Amino acid sequence: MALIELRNVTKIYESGVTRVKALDNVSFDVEKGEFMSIMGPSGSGKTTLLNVIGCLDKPTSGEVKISDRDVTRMPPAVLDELRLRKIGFVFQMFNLIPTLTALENVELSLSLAGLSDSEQRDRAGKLLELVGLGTRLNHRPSQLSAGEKQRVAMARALANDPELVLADEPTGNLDTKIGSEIVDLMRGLNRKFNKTFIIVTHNEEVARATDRIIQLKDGRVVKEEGRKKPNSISSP
Amino acid sequence: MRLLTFALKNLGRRKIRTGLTIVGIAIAIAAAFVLLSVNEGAGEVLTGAKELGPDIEAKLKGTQVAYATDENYAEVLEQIEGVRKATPVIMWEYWHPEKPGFIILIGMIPSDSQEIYAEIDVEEGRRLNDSDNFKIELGYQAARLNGLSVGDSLEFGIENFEVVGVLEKTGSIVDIIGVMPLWSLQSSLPGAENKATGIWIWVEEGASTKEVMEAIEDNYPELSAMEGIAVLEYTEEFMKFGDAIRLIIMGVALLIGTLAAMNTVTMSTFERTREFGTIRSLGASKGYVFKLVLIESVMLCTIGGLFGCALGYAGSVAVERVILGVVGMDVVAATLKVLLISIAIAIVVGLIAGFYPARRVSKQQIVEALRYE
Repeated sequence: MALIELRNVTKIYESGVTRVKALDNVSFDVEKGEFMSIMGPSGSGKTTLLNVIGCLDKPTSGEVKISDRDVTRMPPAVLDELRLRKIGFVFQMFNLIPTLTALENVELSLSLAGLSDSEQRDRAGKLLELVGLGTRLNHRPSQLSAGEKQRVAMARALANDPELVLADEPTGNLDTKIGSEIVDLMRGLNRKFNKTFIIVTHNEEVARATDRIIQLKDGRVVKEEGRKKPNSISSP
Repeated sequence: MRLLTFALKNLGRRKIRTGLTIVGIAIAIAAAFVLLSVNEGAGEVLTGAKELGPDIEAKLKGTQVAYATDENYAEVLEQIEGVRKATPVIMWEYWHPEKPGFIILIGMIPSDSQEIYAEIDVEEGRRLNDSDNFKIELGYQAARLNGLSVGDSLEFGIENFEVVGVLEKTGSIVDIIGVMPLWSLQSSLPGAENKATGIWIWVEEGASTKEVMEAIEDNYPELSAMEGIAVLEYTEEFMKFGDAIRLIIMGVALLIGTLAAMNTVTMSTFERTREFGTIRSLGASKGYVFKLVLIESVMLCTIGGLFGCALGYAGSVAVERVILGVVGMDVVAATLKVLLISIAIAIVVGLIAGFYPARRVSKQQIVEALRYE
């Protein structure tokens, strides 16, 4: 059973008389533990697709299954819970809370899952050490470099041990060297903990670092390259 | 990361804006605190006065003269079933042009006064007795504000009244009274011989005040019977008007405070739209972000409210001093009740101010929020 199954997913945005088909009959599966990317030019529907997979948006038609459950029919409260437990997000602009320290940004995700204060502190500290920020726990985002911010975002995405991590242009605001370090970090987490990564990018170098590339154009899958068996095992 | 800690950190984001809003709310709550203290104090004074006064006051119907009722009505009214005590009383006011405060002069038969107000002790000197003439016992503030003590004289018209006693401080209207023998006051006022402002009547235990009032008016149609002291009825009406004015001022202050808080919280949520999208994408429910914004708003207003209470307390002490200096009555009561009501008002202001922005944030589509620039 695939972790994610998309069948004929179509998303149409309507504004007055204007209709924009952002996704047009998109179908593919993602296996658990895959490290893949979605590529395409601006406006090809990459972010819309990621939002649909991440249960942030609903498709106009079609079916999206995560662990064999159709998420398009789920009520909002169940989707909140699904995002909390199963999906981690990494954004291009990092989207960290500026008033919170690195540690607190990670703790926030853990608090939503109902962990006690000491459990939150303990786990957030370990995750930040895992992404190489063990000495920057009490720094606010404004005191961190762009690469460090993205590492905090990565730790936050992994906070509740999700099966799936969705990264929207994670290297878009980083220079080539730091960008490559972030991709290496994601690759390491994928290998070590068998996390499934879907990376949206328009950077060919980043896409080439993944095992599978799905190319989108005008909301359609136009090309699919490579496929590797997922690897395993433990959890962070 | 607790919700409260998170909310508090968010408040610290724009310190100047938050600070100014807190000042605005503090001023609104301080105004409410002072007005509530005055309300509370005035209410206490009135209640105290009512407790001290008779159950019924009977006086000649339709006259504007301050002492038109024949004092002999007291004897006949005492015969009515259910009446425990009836005594003639003249009420007058005393102003000294160069001294602050006024004295409510009560002309009463001293033995009746002692019997009725047996629980009031003297701080200095003695109580009046029936052999006294042109003597006066003064309430605590009446004596203090007029610089009088036992042995001094109070000039009233062409007469001098010797102070024989100063009553202990009660915090009620008793503090500004001066009790004189009825006959002394009658002879000091023109045409007041054998006259009274009214007949004060106390009913027997278990008897119905209403029935006694009806019996008085049935037997003596020229008299009107009112519950309590007639003058207090008018005072109460006047106070109701004062209450309405205070309520309007308080409402305006609170409305301004609410709008200031609403503006701050709304602006803050607009600025953080993408952040709320992020929090929702992490798995936070609509209820979580609703609560977060509402808690921020309530915290903001509660902090402002606490400062406001401190400011209001200082304000009510100042108002109390001014009023005490002018009328000699302690009509401001900054009680625990006032404090709790003020804090409750601040919390309600926070809930009202936070409701709209909290609802807006919780209703927002996550993808739209994430896209927000």
